[in-house]
Amino acid sequence: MRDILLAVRDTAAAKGVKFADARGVTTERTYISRQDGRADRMSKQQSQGIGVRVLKGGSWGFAVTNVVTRDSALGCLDEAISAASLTTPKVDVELAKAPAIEAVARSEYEKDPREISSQVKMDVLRAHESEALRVAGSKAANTIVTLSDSVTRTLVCNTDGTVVDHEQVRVNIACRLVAAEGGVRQSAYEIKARVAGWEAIEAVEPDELSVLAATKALRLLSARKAPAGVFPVVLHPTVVGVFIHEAFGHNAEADLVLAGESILEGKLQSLVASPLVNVVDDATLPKLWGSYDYDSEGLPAARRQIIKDGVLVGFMHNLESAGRMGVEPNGSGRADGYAARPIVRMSNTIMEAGETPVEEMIAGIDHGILMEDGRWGYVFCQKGQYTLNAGGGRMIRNGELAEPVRDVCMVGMVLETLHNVDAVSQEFELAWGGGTCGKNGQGMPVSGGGPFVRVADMVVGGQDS
Amino acid sequence: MQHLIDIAQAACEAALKAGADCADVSVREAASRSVDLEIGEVKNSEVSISSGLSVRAFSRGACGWASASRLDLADARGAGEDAAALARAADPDPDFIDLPTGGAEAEIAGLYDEAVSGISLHDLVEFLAPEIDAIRAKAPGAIISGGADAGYGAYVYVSSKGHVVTNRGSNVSCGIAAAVRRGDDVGMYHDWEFARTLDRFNPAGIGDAAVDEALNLLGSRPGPSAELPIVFGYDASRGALSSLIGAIDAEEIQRGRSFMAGMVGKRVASEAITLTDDPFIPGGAGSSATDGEGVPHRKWVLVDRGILTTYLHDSYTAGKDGVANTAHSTRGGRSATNVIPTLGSRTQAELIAEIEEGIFVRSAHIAVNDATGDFSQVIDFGYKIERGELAYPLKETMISGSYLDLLAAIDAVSSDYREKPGMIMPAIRASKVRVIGR
Repeated sequence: MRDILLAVRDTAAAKGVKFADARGVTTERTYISRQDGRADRMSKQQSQGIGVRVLKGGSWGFAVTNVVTRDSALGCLDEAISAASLTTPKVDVELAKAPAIEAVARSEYEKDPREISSQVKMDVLRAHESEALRVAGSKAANTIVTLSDSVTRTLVCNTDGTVVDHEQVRVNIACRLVAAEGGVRQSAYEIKARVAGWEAIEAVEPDELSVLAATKALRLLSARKAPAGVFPVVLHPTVVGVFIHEAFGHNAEADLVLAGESILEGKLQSLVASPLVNVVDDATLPKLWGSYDYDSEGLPAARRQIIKDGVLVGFMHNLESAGRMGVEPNGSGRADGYAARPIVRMSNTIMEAGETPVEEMIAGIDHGILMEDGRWGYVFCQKGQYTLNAGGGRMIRNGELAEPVRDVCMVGMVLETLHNVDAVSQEFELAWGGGTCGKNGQGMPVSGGGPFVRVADMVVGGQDS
Repeated sequence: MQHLIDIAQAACEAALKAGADCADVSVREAASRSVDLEIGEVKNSEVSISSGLSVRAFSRGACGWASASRLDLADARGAGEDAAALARAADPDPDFIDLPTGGAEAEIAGLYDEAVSGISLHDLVEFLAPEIDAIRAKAPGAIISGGADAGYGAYVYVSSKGHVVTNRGSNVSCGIAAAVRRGDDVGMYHDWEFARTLDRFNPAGIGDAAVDEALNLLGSRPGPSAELPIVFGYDASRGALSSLIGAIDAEEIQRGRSFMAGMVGKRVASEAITLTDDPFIPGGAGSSATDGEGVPHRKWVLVDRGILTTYLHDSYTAGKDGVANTAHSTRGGRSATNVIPTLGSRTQAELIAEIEEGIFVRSAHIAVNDATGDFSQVIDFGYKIERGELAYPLKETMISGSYLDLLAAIDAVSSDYREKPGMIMPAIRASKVRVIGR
């Protein structure tokens, strides 16, 4: 692979292109699911291919092949050059100047998951399932426990002299349990995911995965429907993680800012949030699901400060966006495999801890909601409207946590919400679950974390009046 | 096509030789071109050739899968052996009966067009150019994004039952979004065009449609909190009804995961709702002669005047329930093909005009909790209806409730509709839904 990519790079340079990179990616992935007492699906995937990218003027051309030969790769280069020549945008792009990097890196792991037998993997799933069923008893309607591991090797070469060979090993184990009782059905899901080897799976106890999923599902069976209306809310760290990624984080991706598609356009060095709010995107946190050593442009991972004391201080960048904004690149160019081009992506997006004890935050609310178990959300960046879904929560009455509620969804305008943050807890949690962020059809492993956060008033779309 | 069949058969034979009781293989080979825009200019142009094979092997009913991206005989045989080894390692499944056999396949016109393979990147730019101009003419300074793509490919399915299915497909599509900013106020909308063949592809007007609606959506404000009638417009009804189809996957029912359990033969929607799954629509987006297991498709009325007639089955779920296979396999899941609602007698405009106070949903999907059947959904793009007219655009407004209650409250399907290949998109109206605003 290396010789093929170097040939592409050298040929591109000889043809006088402004910039080109060639990326070869090889992935091996296995997946096992155990459902209702049986290991019912076992799969193994292998893929390999090359993506070649060429910049000409302000346009990119990109061509892809999964035939890993010199001729095929050079054919891609010609296709990419031709594609980049298609039009002449008004803006001529100068990429950020980055030092040529030559590196070989491998994410840290002790036990290669490829060397673990199917039987051992099935035994682990059986143990987790057994514990979940013990807790849920006759109320368990369905359990699925899944195990997935992957080894991805990425080799990227570019005409600026970078040659980075980067291998990453990922593992995750997850459990979904559906509980049913008297015509009521509820589900809960837990996942533990690491950039690590099999040792990370061995370290996961049922209490923090399958038992937790069972416990949550059982609790939701007796939870009342969430109320509808406008309430003060406290967001649990898992909900803050979804909020800061979905509602805010996408707006801080510099390619969207440059495309005029972010509500943060023109707001650099402005107050965009309460001074209590500090946000970073950190791809260097050991073993967290969104971490990596090098991005898909061959730049080292970094910690990026996005909001400092409520002020927008930076964006996530790839080589192009950094060049166009005249700043240093910060290693946020990620691609979902060889067939996708690197675009600006988040890694582990985190709201930093504050100083208020969570009990004090809750004590200040007469009638509100604690939103827990963040599940999903999305945002229309240009408009700034977002929605968040949480699996459940607790009512807050007279300053104390009261009965559990389920299916809590809320809507807001992202900058208004950030300005309305009136307390940030000293308690803080990293999200050790594995999330996949979608953008431009590419899925990317991400994670995050945060403290408890209180917001003065939010529209909550519950099912009860 | 023969080389794809040879590869599939090699993988299938390898799986059997490695101890599988039966096996099936899918092989695909495809090519695509695409361009995308940044602020109305072409920013990225891509050319892609892709391929892949997937082997499913069974041993004592247990299933093993293996896939590979490269199409050569050695990799195919390796995948077959891997799939068989995984199947042998998995736990036996007494509910698995056998792989299905094939049958007479319908001829469906308009699913593949050789001309699509001749669409160049330049052609894609030409599709978009007049739409970009249309937006700029109405809203100078609008942020324009979107793109266009064209793809074509071949697909082969082979099973150890001696069953071989081959087909070719093509598609061409483009989409464009306009965002208009007035100070801190932003109106944005999008439109799109899709076809399987070039002769049916006509993107003219999507730029106008996007920018007109973006301008209309300026000045949004929160809606009321009340129980109100709601009209889901042409662009929203498909999303509103798709959760119903998603919830009738037979495996979700068999596994006890879906709120639709036990509902076949029962009312799941009002009498206004009849949904027909028609895989034979010429040029339809979801049209095909067979399902993912090579079983000939057939036309089904899935919901007949509000009554659910069947779940979506493949060979496994049908065998487990002892019912007929409805041929909805996607080989790994189940899905409908082209779901067509039966139309009503009044137009969307008439449905709106009859409402004193209500909500018009321009575009939104409804994410339903699969287990409970509850939903809580923001209205992405919509309007307040006052005295039979669209009064103002909405922001920070949600709807919530039981999805089955929403379906039961549908009192009308419009007579007029938006049409795309394989898609008939009328408006639907629900008489009373909880709306939450500020």
